[in-house]
Amino acid sequence: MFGHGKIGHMKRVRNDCILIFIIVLLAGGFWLVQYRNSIQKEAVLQIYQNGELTEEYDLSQSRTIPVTGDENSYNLVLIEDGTVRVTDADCPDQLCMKQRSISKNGESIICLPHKLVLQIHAKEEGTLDAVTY
Amino acid sequence: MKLKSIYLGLLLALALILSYVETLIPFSIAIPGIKIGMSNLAVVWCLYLLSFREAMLLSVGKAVLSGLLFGNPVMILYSLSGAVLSCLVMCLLKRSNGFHVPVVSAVGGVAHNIGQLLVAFLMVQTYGIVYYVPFLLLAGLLMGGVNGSISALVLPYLQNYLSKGDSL
Repeated sequence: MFGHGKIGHMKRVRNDCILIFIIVLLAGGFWLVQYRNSIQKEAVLQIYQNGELTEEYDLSQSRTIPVTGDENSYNLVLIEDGTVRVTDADCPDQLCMKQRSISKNGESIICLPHKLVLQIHAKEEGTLDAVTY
Repeated sequence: MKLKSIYLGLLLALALILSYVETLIPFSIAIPGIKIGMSNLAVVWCLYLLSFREAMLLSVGKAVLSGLLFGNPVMILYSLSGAVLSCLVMCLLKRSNGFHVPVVSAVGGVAHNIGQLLVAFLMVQTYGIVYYVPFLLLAGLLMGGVNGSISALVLPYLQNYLSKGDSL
């Protein structure tokens, strides 16, 4: 019954490979489509200091932005490949540097000591907020 | 086979226990819906040892009961759609007689995830769900493949045992 059917072993191996290949290809195709859609060209980085919007930057252009605020506070913001992160800061806890990079609508990096908020804002509606199973 | 219903009961009990054991294993990735799916071992065994009818019964019973025992009503809907589609696909592949057990199980795992995604799509009504498709396809392939490989090792022994039991 197992491997002793009418079809030979090698033919089965061939079938197996074809089927797995198709599924992997399908997964790759979906991933590619999804990946291309996820690059939000319209999205901007909004920088809030003391709760007020001070600057806006286009995500599609890579650049480093030094952000200085009250009492000579300093954060270095890096925009790279549509993602934003903080690469240098002189705040005491340095938590803003440890936060993961942001790229999607609504994501944010917050530096509490400097009252600095970096937030992504997309012009169009993004992907799902949440999915529960 | 007189003992069919007995084996079906045993396999259902095994599926439920495996479902329970799985809830004990802390296994969570960022993507919802990815599970080891150990209880599908029982479905694969059922498909190969008994028949399609029993496997489908087992799938439905497993989905409903494990949902009631360890989950919630919404979970039943998800696992039911996944289990039914998975069982159908595995039966077709098995009937075609052109694939090895691990691959049949792997594609069954993929079908399980597709079934769940379809229900999720109907419920959430967003194309954003497409984001999960590649991960769920690959996860289903991997987990199903592992289950199938285990099955391929175990099935000959079970087959042997069952044929002895029949002659009693």
